[in-house]
Amino acid sequence: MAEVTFKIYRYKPGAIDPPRYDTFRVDVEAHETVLDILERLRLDDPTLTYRHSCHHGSCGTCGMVVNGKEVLACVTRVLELGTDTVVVEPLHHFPLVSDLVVDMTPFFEKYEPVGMPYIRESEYIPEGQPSEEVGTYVRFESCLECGLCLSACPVVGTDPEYLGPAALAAAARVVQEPRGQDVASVFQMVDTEQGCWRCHAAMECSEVCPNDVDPGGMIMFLRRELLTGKAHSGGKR
Amino acid sequence: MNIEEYKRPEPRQPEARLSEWFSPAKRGVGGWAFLLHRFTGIVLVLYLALHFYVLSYLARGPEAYQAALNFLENPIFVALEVALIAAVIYHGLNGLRLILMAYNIGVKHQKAMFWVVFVLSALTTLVAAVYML
Amino acid sequence: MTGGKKTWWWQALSGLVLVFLLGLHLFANHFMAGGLLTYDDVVTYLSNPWILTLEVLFLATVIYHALLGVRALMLDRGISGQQERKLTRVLVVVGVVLFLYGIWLFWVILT
Ligand code: HEM
Ligand code: HEM
Ligand code: SF4
Ligand code: SF4
Ligand code: FES
Repeated sequence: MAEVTFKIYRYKPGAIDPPRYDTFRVDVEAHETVLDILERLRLDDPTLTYRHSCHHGSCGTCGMVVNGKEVLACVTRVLELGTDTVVVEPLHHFPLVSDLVVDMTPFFEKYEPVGMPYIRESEYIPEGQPSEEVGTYVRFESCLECGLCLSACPVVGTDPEYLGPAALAAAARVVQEPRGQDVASVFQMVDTEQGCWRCHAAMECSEVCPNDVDPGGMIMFLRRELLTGKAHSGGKR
Repeated sequence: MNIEEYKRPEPRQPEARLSEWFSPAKRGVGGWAFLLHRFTGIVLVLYLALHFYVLSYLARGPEAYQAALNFLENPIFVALEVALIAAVIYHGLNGLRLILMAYNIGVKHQKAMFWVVFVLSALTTLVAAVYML
Repeated sequence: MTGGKKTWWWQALSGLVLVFLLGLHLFANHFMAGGLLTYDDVVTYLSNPWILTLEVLFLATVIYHALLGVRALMLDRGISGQQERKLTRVLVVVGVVLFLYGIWLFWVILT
């Protein structure tokens, strides 16, 4: 157990405005995560707001910026951060609703039109033979729709029109495994100034992605497909 | 307050801050490569403008040009010239790295490729500097 | 023009060409026979028609690449399609003016 100082970003339109940082001294156990601490602090201050759901890194709602880096609060152990002071801030580049809660609309506006099916063929358990009724093993796509990558990307920060890493990675998944989707129209969507050509390969998105989607690498995959003409059916010349 | 009167406050829209391109806070290796590429690109554009201006002395005849060159012989300008060479070499080599990456070559090794670019730039700049000084 | 690929590709190609042409430029200016240190050195250097050709090519490529770069920076700031078309037109004019200025300089030096 160790005592840690939490500096938490507070903002509420019309109420806490301009924003400020509230400081809390907290005794933290080794197993406790940033989300655990926020929930404890909320018992004393019910106006402290944040998003969460699953508590185990699979719903993607608890994304925030901890000590300057985008993380899922529910799987980030406080003591593993190794700092006496832990600074907690909302994701960058999103409209800010209240404290640590951002409005994810800009994410889904870019992400949903790609139309990536959520179920994919599983590449795991290669030796396990699924029974006949099952056919093939399937699993969910890796992207948690947490928006960490958009918060980390320096281009998203200045260009709201940019499709952004998550949507481009979803597009690359459709290209790799169409599952009935129209690959040509996806290529058309990403082969634009504001699509995969706006990226500058800073790879900050892949650096923070909690589920190894590797959006930066996926963008480079899309470029290769477009550059080497594999996208003839769809990509505009 | 009457609940009917309550209006959900508008969220605060994010501001676009260009300083973000150059902020050193919490960058990965690729982030540094991007920062340096962008910075050197801008430096080179500014230098090009300055260069065109200095070259205009060429049009005013040998004496005027020589006078301009003499003015630029000052150690500060020589140091800046070395910095310029460093910028050219880094921007060029990292440009090659970016082109390879767009062809999906070595993306998994982009960090190692950055360090190769960085060390090569430093060495070439050193050689150039020794020649120039 | 939605050709995101096209602009990226031209930026990359002009960058590749610049590796050689800018390399030549810097090499000539600093190392070849001690560098171009006087007006006369410059005149002698440019009197070689091959060199002159390469330098004109360099002039065009570097302006093109630099202005494409400026355009990329402006797009990263987030601008509308209409502003983008206006910006592209302005940059084309700037590029042509700079190129003509460069050619004029070569001409003045050599005559
Ligand atoms: C020496 C050879 C060069 C190579 C191989 C090269 C390569 C590149 C490449 C591949 C890009 C695109 C980067 C991206 O999309 O993220 C780029 C951008 C740029 N280049 Fe070059 N370049 C070279 C020389 C120059 C020169 C001489 C100038 C200036 C006069 C220049 C100015 C720029 C600018 C302003 C950008 C945009 C920067 C950005 O988007 O961050 N480059 N260069
Ligand atoms: C510090 C190193 C440099 C020196 C000493 C230098 C010197 C010169 C000289 C003496 C000339 C006139 C003769 C000729 O055309 O070769 C010239 C022209 C030129 N330089 Fe450089 N230069 C340097 C770096 C650069 C860089 C980094 C760029 C690109 C960003 C550049 C772009 C040009 C261009 C485009 C011209 C042709 C201008 C014209 O039309 O006359 N130079 N330079
Ligand atoms: S690789 Fe592209 S999408 Fe990812 S952070 Fe960099 S610029 Fe943004
Ligand atoms: S790509 Fe990764 S960081 Fe981006 S939303 Fe999906 S899971 Fe989150
Ligand atoms: S609460 Fe679901 S990912 Fe953190």
